[in-house]
Amino acid sequence: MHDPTTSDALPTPEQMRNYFAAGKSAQKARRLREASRAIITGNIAAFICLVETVLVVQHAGWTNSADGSGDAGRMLMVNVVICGFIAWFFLSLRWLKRQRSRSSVYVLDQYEAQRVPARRVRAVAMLVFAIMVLGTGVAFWTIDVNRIPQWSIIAFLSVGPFAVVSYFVCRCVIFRFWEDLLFAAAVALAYLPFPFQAWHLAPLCLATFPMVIVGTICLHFRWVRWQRSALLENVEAAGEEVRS
Amino acid sequence: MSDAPSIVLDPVIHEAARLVIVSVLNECGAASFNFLLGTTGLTRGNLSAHMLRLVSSGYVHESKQIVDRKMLTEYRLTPVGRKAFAKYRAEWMRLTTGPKEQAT
Repeated sequence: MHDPTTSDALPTPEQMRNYFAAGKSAQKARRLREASRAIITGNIAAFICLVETVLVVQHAGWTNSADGSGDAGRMLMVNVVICGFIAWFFLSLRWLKRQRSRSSVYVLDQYEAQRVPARRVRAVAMLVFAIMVLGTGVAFWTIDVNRIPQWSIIAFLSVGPFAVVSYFVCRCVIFRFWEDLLFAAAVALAYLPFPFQAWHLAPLCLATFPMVIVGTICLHFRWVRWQRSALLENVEAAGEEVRS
Repeated sequence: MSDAPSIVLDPVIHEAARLVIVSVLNECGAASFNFLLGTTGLTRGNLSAHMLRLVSSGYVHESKQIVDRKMLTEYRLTPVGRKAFAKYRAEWMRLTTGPKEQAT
């Protein structure tokens, strides 16, 4: 009998099927893990959309009154929205933590549990990269913002949205959640009026927030639905486990 | 004849059901029994038997605690188990892609 545990011969079709079945189960676990973090993903999208909206709103002149001077009331409204988002961010993370800790289907990320040193190095590298990008931006601004060509400012400001859109598209390819495409579309839509200087499209920015909220809710309910079905299936089994 | 060392796949992981379990555990830091039931599609008794084998091999760590008057059994791959799975995957890739690489 062919035994690939000890021979160099190619595995049988059945063993190949087993290997692919294991891959499929691993993918399922990965999708569930990501669905359980819907709030975090939604917050990332919402944060980027907020920054872009503020940028577009400022340039579209929404914060100015009719005579061109700054309107304190509108500025206050923008600031309240920003502070409200920050408050919501911390509250939602707290809620997420509580919800996950109560869940009887308990999943931790591999890296959270394992604390892989390679990831730490990558995190430091990303931090250094972010500081370098910010430093370059500040340096250019300090030199003279008027001398910098318009296209280079747009290119510099486009780095963030482009990276986030790529991140969500990659996630969609890996995890196959349509919600990720919605987040990518929301981030792109929020930034679109800025590079094209199409200020009449500025109201589109506001439409991105409902998009992000819908995406987050749908992603979160994937997790909730799965968790409920798994629990209902295993209610009797859980009782047996306690008795044993 | 090839001078390359012969491929040895870990028999503990190579079994179909255990391969699924270890693949799932490799994706999660820790997973409860119910989570494994849902993701692997194994029956309760089958999963229990395979978990016992993995725990006795030292590849998986089992912890039990009572949460809301219910027993919550949690499993996580040990560093030995993670290493063994990484080795298994590398060996598997060598086995399935080896002839192609040699041809090139």
